[in-house]
Amino acid sequence: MELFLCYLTNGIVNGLIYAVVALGFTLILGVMQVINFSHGLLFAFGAYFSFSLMKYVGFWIALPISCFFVGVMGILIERLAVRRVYGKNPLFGLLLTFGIAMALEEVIRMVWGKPGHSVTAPDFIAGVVNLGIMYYSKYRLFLAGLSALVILLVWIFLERTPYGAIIKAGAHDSEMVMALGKNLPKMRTLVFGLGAALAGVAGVIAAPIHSIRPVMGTYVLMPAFVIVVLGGIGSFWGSIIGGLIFGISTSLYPGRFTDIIPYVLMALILLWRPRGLMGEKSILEV
Amino acid sequence: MLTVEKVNTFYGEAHILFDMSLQINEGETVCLLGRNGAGKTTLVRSIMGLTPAKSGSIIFKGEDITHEPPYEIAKRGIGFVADSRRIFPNLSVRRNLEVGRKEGGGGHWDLEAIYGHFPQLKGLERHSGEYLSGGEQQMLAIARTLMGNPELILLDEPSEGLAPFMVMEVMKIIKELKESGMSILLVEQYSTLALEVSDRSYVLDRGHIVYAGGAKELYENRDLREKLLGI
Repeated sequence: MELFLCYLTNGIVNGLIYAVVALGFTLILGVMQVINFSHGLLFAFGAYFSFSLMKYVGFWIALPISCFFVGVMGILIERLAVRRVYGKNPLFGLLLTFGIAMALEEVIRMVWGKPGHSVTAPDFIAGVVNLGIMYYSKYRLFLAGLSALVILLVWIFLERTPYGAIIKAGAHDSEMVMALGKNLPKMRTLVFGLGAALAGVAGVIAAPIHSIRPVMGTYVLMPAFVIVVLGGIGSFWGSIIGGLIFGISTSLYPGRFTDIIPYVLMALILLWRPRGLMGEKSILEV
Repeated sequence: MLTVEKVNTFYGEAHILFDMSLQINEGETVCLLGRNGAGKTTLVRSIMGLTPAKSGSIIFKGEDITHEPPYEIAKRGIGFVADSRRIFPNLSVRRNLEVGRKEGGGGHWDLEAIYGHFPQLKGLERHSGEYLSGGEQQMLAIARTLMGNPELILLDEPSEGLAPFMVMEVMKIIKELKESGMSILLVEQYSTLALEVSDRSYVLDRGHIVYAGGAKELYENRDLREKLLGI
């Protein structure tokens, strides 16, 4: 029982981090109709930036700076490359960002080297805490809280600010948003930057749990994609629920077949709801 | 206020508008009539920069806006109410209105003024745009554009698909906007109602202007109307 609870908690913690990654992915997909295959690498860059920065400035300063750098990377990627494929066949965007991802992975190898590094959790959250029924890693709890906070902030931004309304409106009818006087190219750049920053923050948060490696970006992309598809393209809550499903289903039964479980679940969910749990008609149906 | 001069517009290879010229003066209500496929919506889209003209020029308040992006054109003071309304279904009525607000703001129309003028929208404030009736959607579409305080408003078939009583309601709103001094380009397919509220009228046919003159003359000249519009 205690072991089960521990696995379940692990699953929720992992799920929340996955949800943050997927949220950025689905935001870009929902608003720009671009399947951003470089999203995983942006996650990796978040982790690597924080790895380098933490040694000098500590966790709390490394977190926002890494996040900001990854956001800027996202803005550059959008400005220099991705904006050329808007409105074209989604395959163009997919191939383009896939190429960017491969290039970025090599950049990581060049700068930080091929072997992995381990990131130590900050001191103030080292050790374990007694939850009554079990002892649990303080850092993992902290991660869960931080991820939940990020999710809450994104929700407030999208649902409670005028800018969020414009983004949601733009995801539905970008032409009408422009006709109402909104600078769509600028908005798209910012959304891409925001999506990238979300990948970055997840990377910073996740770094101390797993060792950081050049391939970590590629490894996180597939879960993000699965989560977004099973949750529903462009859906906020779909990403959260999908993230939790993914996290929990891969944590409950550690063993040889663990990795298959979310894919089986995805297949079952898609048989039942072809657009995902919260999905509406999307770009993938064109 | 707005001068369209020899505009040619294409959809891909298809030539839709041929050397089209028209004029809207300040405070004037002009209606644009014509059968389905005459090019009315294309003309409005060209003015708005959504389907930019290939040649010719569009001058608004003395400035050439022919090749400006739509959001610049909107910022300069042209408001666009699309046919089929295009309400954002994933936003509430209130947030639909907020999207219409322009940066910097200013002007007569804000949330309060809109709710004062369209009390039914206030009642629906929290409702999702998805669940409004056609008439409510049309009202919201007009109100959303007003939130940007345009000086010239382009209304593309605002009575399309509405119940007769709602059509009257929309015409009443147009009259009020006109009285407030706003310049209006009203696009309608057949409506004699449009002629009633307009000062001048243009009739389009297959991308050409076939009539330009007073709205009253066309309204009173039944034979001409039948010849031009088949009504």
